[in-house]
Amino acid sequence: MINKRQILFLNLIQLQVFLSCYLAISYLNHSMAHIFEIPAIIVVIIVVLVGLLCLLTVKELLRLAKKEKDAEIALARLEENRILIDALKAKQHDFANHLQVLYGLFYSGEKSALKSYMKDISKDLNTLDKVASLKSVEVAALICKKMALTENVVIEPVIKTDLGNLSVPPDKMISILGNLMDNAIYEAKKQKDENKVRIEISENDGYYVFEIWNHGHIPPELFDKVFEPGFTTKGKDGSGMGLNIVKNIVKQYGGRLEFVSGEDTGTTFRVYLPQKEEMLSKTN
Amino acid sequence: MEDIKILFFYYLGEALLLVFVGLALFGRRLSWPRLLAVSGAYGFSIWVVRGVYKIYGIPFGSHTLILTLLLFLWIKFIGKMDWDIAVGASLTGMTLILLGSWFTDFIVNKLNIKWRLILDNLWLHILFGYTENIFLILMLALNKFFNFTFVKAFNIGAD
Repeated sequence: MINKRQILFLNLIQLQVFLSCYLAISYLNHSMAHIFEIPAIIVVIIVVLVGLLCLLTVKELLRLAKKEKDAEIALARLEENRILIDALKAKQHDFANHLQVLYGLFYSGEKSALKSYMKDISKDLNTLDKVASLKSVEVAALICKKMALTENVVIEPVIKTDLGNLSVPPDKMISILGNLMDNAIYEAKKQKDENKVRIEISENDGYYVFEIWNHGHIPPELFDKVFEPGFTTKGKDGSGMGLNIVKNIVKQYGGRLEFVSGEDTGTTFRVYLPQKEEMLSKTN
Repeated sequence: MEDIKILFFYYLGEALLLVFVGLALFGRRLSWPRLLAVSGAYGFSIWVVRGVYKIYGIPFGSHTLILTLLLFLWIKFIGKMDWDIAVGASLTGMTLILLGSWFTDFIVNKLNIKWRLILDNLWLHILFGYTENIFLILMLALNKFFNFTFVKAFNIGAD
């Protein structure tokens, strides 16, 4: 079944092409003089109608472009949902194993070991529960994916908000967090003892604050270069564009990006993104 | 009115090509009886409209607009097509004819022939008339051999 709106759109363009060809051929055949014998009001009406049709065509073009963008976002969302479901399925399998261990410990009467084991699992459950409760499914899926698939690095999410009013579109959000987490994971892998990455999501004064910490540090002489396009500490593994992209997206959506780094304190990248009401009040 | 032979040897042929190609570019085909009925009605319309213009001494030019409207009506009501397809097919066909008329004019000027000579001679009129269909024939070839349609070219998908 052909899309009627698109056919109408095509017809509008064809009408304009037809009228243009008609006027051009009439001019070439020197029959323009006869066209101008038509009452002026008819010519004015035709010109106004064609002008309106042009506007309609442009409006339809813009609507179709927006629809395409919405479809891309929906597709990205679907993909992230799929990843979240896969990660949760993997966790479910994990918990089946935990239950077996718990049963074994209970059956063998190892009460203290059982207590300690249950404490660890409930902490894990609580974390997962908080991540899954995030209203931004894409962010939840990204964190779950990193937790499930990253080897040799412990990812600790600390969730203090539900991201219900996130103003940044999902695909941009994935770009921001994905790049920052990848950088943190890369550095954490280099650390033998402190191979942790902590991601904390909270709210502060109309902004959502995303803090990504790892134990690595950036030398002070590189502080000015960190956001430059092409700069990387990853050698051949890095494109040098990640932080530059993050900086541009954050700026585009009225946010702020900063970092602190020290040998003892590790490196924290902090992203402030305005909540939706904040964006509205700024526009007003 | 013009010689009736022009209707049978030129206008009906052009109408058949016009209707077939116009609809084919939208991925539509008419059954042969319907195609012949629409082509017949349109071919006859060309003959009548041009005849009326000649009788009343109306300068040619605006007859194209009238014929475009008539083509749309015949495709819609005799061809039983949706109105949007009928509009598209008639506009496409007539645009190709307009471009073809420029081509014919180009050929006539290149050969240094006077239009009066062509129009006064029945068979020259028919011969040069068919050169107007050059772009229709080109689009027919594209459709036949490469399956070209606007639906595919502009990715017009389902609702």
